[in-house]
Amino acid sequence: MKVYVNLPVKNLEKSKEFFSKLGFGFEKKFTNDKGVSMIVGEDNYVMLLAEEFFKTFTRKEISDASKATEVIVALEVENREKVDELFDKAIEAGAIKNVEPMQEKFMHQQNFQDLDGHIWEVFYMDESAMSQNQ
Amino acid sequence: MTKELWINLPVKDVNKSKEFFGKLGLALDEKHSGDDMACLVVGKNNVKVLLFAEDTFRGFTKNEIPVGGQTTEVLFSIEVESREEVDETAKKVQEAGGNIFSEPEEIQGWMYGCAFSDLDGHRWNVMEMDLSKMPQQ
Repeated sequence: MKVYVNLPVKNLEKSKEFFSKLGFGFEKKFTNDKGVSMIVGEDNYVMLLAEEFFKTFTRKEISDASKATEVIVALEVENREKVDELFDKAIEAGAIKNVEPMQEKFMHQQNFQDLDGHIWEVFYMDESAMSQNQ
Repeated sequence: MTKELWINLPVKDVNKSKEFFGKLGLALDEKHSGDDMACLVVGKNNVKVLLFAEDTFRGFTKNEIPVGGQTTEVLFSIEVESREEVDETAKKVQEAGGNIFSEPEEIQGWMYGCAFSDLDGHRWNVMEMDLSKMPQQ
């Protein structure tokens, strides 16, 4: 069993360019003019689908992500520096800062909204500091 | 670069949702679960799906949650190994109180799947894919 996240996007080319600037690669096998398959981590995929194509699966209208949020897609990275690095790249590529960063003993986190308003969280978690905390 | 993918979802009742996904066969990660959140572990890649009480979730996003599943922002796909597993999952979803909005069927000649909404209206599909039959572009 495996899980994929599918997100609707207004402009596939622009979104692909945006996430390329953040350093993500794409799987050619699942990429066409209606959707691209973005590789996240070892072997996970976030599918960016053109809105009309997305709707054929959900049979629902798409939420206006600037007004309501149904999901936060979170990316765990290796250290605190990489959190800021990825966040800075996102802002440079046109993302909007969502909330103030969270800096705690066991966690460092930044949030941004992508070109379509979807919220992404970039975080580092120190599991050892977390268990000491409890 | 990125180590892991996590998914955060708002739910009205954490305990009920925990029970719902448990009935579908998803494992619970006790370590990351608490009073107002539950952590599910999905699939061979151990993707973690965190279910948060709506108020907690809104605290993170500083935004509203789409009303009553009327619109949707995201679709989750669960890939399974066989057509039988698709049928079995559809049955489990129904028994657990989910809503199948697309019955199991063959799709484009190389996939077999169904789609459902969970207790909060979040939308999921369950698919078996035969890549050898996938049309080449």
